[in-house]
Amino acid sequence: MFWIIKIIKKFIKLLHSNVNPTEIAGGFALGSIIGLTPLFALHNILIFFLIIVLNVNIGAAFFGMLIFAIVGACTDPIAHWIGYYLLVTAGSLTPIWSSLYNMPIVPFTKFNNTVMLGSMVISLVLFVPILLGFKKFIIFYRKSLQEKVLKWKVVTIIKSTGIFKLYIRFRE
Amino acid sequence: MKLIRWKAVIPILVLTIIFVVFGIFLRDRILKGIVISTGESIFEAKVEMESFKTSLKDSSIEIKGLQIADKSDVWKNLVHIDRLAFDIRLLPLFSKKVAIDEMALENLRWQTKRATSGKLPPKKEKKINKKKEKEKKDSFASKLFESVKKKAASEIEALPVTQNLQNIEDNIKSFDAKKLVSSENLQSRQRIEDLTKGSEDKYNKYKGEINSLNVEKQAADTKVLIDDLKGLKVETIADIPKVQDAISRISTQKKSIDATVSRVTDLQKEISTQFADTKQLALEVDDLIKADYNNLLSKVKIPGVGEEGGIAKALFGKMWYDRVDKVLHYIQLARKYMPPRKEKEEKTMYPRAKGVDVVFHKKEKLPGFSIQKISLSGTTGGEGKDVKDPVTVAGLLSHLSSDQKVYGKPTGLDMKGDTAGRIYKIDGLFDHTSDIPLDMIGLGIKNFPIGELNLPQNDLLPKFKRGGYDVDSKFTVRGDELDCMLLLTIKDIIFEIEETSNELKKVINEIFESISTIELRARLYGTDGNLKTEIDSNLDNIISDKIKSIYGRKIKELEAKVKAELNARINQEKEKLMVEYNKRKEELMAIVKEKLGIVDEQKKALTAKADEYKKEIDNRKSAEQEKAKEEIKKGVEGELKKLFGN
Repeated sequence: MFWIIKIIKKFIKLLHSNVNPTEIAGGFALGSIIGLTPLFALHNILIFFLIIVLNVNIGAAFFGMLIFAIVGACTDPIAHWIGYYLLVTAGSLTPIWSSLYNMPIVPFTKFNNTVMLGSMVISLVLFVPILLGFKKFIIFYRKSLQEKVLKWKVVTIIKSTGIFKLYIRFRE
Repeated sequence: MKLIRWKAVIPILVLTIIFVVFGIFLRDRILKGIVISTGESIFEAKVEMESFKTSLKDSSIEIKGLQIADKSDVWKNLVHIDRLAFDIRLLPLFSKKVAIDEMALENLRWQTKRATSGKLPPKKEKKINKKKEKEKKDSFASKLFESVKKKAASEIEALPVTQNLQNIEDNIKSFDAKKLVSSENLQSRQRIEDLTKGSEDKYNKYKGEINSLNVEKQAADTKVLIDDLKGLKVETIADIPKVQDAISRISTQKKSIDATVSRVTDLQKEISTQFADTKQLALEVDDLIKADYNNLLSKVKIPGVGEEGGIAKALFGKMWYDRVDKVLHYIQLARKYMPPRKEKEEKTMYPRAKGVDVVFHKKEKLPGFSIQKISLSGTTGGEGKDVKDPVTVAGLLSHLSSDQKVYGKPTGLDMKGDTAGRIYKIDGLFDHTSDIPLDMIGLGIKNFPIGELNLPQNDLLPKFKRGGYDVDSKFTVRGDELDCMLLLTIKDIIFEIEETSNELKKVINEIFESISTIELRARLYGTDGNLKTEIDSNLDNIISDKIKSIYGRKIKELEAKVKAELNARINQEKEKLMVEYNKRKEELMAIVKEKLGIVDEQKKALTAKADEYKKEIDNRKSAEQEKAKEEIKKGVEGELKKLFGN
C-alpha cells in the first residue's frame, strides 16, 4: 500500500516540477503497456529495458503502470474478444500465428493466449494517443491548473497542517 | 532532448549479466521449482525431489528421489522413482518445446508409504482448483468419468447377502409355529366341526324317526290283542267265526307290525349308509390335514439371497469400480495432455484462468513436449507395502508426446517382470494419431499372494489365511466408448475362520469353509449416460446353494414343528369326532336292533296265535267232518239197517 502512495507522491512532485513533459509522457505511455498487459510476460522485460535505457521518466512509468493496471483489469474481456478474433476467428492469420508459434523465443511471449494478444494490441493502439494526450495534459496543467489547484480550500487546509509541511519537504 | 539515457545502459547491461549468471548458477533451483509446480498442477498432490541437477555441457537433467503423492490417498505415493535421468535437446527449448530422446527411470515403485502427507497446502489447492474450474469440464473424458462415478454409486450396495442372512436368522428365531397354526383358517378343523355337527344332526333325526314309530305302543297293542284272545278256543263250530275274526285281527296287527319292521329295516340301512365307515371319514380328514400342512409350509420359506450377481457385486463391486475409476483418471490425464484432434484441425483451444490458449499445429515441427523412449525399471515392492517377495519389473514407454498427430506415432507402454513364477505385466497403447483416439491399459498378474490384492473389508468375506490370485484386466476407451473387463481368480484359498457363538457368523463360516476358488468376471462398457455393468462370480451359486442347504435343515425343523403343532391341534379333535361318530352309530344300531327285536317278538307271538287258531279251526273242522261223517255213516248205516235190516 505504501509503495502506491509513494508512486502517487512522486508523480505529484513531477507534475509540479520542470521535467520535460515528453519525458513524463513517454514514461507514462511505456508504463501503460506494462499495466494493460499481464505483468509476467516476455515483452514487458523489453519495455522495462526501454524505460531504463530511454530518456523517459521512470516515476511516470510506474504511475502509468499503476493506472493502467486498474484499467487493464476492466479491459480483459475486450482483450479476450480481440485476441480470440485474431487468433481463432480470422482464419487468414492462422499461417502467420502458426509460423510464429514454432519460431524460437516468440512462443515465450504467450502471444497465443487471447487475453495476452488482445491486451498487447490495445496497449500498442493506445500507446501513441496516451503519449500525446498525456503530454498535452502536463503542459495544460502546468500552464492553467497548477495555480488554481494551489488555491483550492482543501489545499489551503492541507497547507496549514503537518501534511502540507511534509508536502513542502517532498517538493524540496 | 537526449533520447538514450547512456548512463543507464552500462548498469543495465551489468545487471542483465549478473541476472543471467545468477540464473545459470541458480538454474537447478529455478527449474526444480518449475517442475514441482507443473507436477503438482497435473497430479493435484505434492511432488518432492531429493535433488535436481542440470548440466549445461550435455544439457542433461538428473532427478533423484522423486515422489509424486497420490491425491486419493495422501499418505501414499502414486510413484516413487529413485533416479530419473535424461538429455534434453537445447535448440527446441528456445521454441518453448521440450524434446527428449531418451530417459531412464530407475527403481520405480508405486503406492509406497509416505512419511508426510502428500496433500497440497490449501492455498495452492485452491489455486489449482480455480484453474481447473475454468478448464474444459464438458470434455468427453470428464463426462465419462462422472458417468462411471454415478454408475458406481448406484450399483454398489450394502452387502445384501448378510442382510438376508440376518433376516433368515431373525425369521427362524422369531418363528412361532403355534401362532402360525392358530392364526390360520384350517380346513381340517372346519371339516371336523361340520362332521361333528352333521353326525349329531343325523343321530337326532334317526332317533326321532325311530321313536316316532312307537314300537313299544305297538307291542303293547299286540299284547292287549293277545290277551283279548287268550280265552278264545274253537270248541264248537260256532266258535270258528269268532276265531276267524280273531285271526283277521291278528292278521291286521301283523300287517301293521310288518310295516313297522320294514320301516325299521329301512332306517337301519339308512343309518348304515349315513354313518359311513369311519375309515373313509378319517381319510377325508387326513387329506384336509395334508392340505392345511402344505398351506402352512408355503408360509415357511427361505427368502431369496439376492439377484444373480448380487453377491459378486457386493463383495467386489467397490474394488472393481475403484480400479476403473483410477485407470480412467490416467486415461483422462492422457487425453488432457496428449489431446486427440481431427486431422484437419490447425489449432486447438485450451481454456485457461485468463482467456484461452490457442495451440497451432504444424506437421513438420516438433510437438510442445516429446520423449522418444523412457526405459523403466522398478519393483512391485516398496516402503510400507506388505510384499514379501517383490517382482522386479522392466520395460519401455515409447513415443510420449503432447501432439501425436504432429509427432506421427502413438505412445506405447510395455512393462513386465517375472520372479519365481510370479508374473507382473502392464501394457498400454495411447493412439491419438487417427481421428478416433484409442487408449488401452492392460494389466496381467499371475500367482501373486492374496495378501497383496487389498480387497476391501466386508461382513461377508472372512479374512484370507492363504491363497494366490491371478488378474487379467483390460481398460479400453475408443473414441467415447468405454470397455473395461476384469477376470480375477483367487485360488488355493484357506480362510481364517474364527470361532464364534454368533449364529450368523457360524453360518457364514460354514459357507466359506468349503470354498477354495473364487472367480470373478466383471465388465463395464458403453458410452457416457449409457453404461452397462456385468459382474459375475462362482460365489453366487456356491453361496446360494450353501445357504439353502444350511437353512434347508433349519427349515425342515420348522416344518416339523408346524406338523407337530398341527397334529396336536387337529388329531385330538379328529379322535373325538371318530369316537362320537362311532358311538352314535352304535347307539342307533342298538336301538334299531332293539326295536326290530320287539316287533319280531310281536310278530312271532301273533303268528303263533294265528297258527294256533288256524290249527284249532282245522282240527275242529276235521273233527266236525269226522263227526259228520260218522253221523252220516251212522245215519246211512241206520237207514241201511232199516232198509236192509241187520
